[in-house]
Amino acid sequence: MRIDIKDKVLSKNDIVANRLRERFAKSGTFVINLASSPGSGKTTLLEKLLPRLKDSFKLAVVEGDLRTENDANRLRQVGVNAVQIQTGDACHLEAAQVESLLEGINADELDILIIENIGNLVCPASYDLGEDLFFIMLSTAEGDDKPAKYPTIFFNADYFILNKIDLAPYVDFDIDRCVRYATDINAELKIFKTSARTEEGLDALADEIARLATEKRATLILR
Amino acid sequence: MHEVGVAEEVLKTVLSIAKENNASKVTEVVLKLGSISGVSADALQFAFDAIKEGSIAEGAKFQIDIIKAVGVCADCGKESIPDTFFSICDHCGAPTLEIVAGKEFEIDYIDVE
Repeated sequence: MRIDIKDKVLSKNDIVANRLRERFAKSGTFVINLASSPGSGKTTLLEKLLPRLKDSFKLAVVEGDLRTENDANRLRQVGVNAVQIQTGDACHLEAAQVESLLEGINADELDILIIENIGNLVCPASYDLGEDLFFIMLSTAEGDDKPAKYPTIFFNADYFILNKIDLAPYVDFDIDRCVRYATDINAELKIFKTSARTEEGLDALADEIARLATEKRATLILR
Repeated sequence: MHEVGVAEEVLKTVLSIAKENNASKVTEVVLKLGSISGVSADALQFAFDAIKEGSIAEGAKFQIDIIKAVGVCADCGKESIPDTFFSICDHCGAPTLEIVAGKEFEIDYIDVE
């Protein structure tokens, strides 16, 4: 007997992610899912970026790694509320892991929640974490053709942060070529060029996140 | 490599539908998988074959039909089948391609006894 299904595989993850999205809509919390390869500078960027936002917004970070609490500790040292997920050997974060930590960081009172995903340019593309926007980050040390090599995650992203731009001349990285690859994959991508080390571009990125978080909070007031 | 988790979701759905239909055996599972869904067909096949052991889907044939990414150009209106640069129209070269297929991931049908 043939049973027609023709239904999306609505995975357990999608169900939890939708529940999270509803919850964040109610609380007006603006949520970013930040993915990149390992070593592109996600945590360093957050260390330098979040002090620019933490006086105006209640914010927290969920840190994902296979092992160690190092990244959450680094953010706590700059006065940012951070919790660590250790996935063991899993290559991406799942919505249920994020959900399980929300009470501990008073998520419903937050203006901004940033989820720093596992360093990986493949698997995080497939797991919705209930975020408002998906940020993909790349550093110049990785090679300017990375978007073309990992197109799916760039296609799924809303924002593209190109970090370590101060290193570009030393590692033969062609910024224009990289940006062209990324926008040929996803013409809607919004692009920010940063150096977490020199802090170039961080004010602009902080302003953008402040704008987005304020917009989200406004939806709450209008309702 | 996250396809084991994905395969587990598929198997769970298949087994629950088979049970609702009082089936004792699943003989075939057919999936539709978009080429830019983020799931690897080979890895999914491998994972499904490994985890179906011991279930009523143990002997099931697992078929994955790949749906290629298709885009329609908002500028010239023509269709492209992009492999990597999903915004670029093959015909006029404009970055105005809108993807209309290729992100699917669904169970098409199952055969049960």
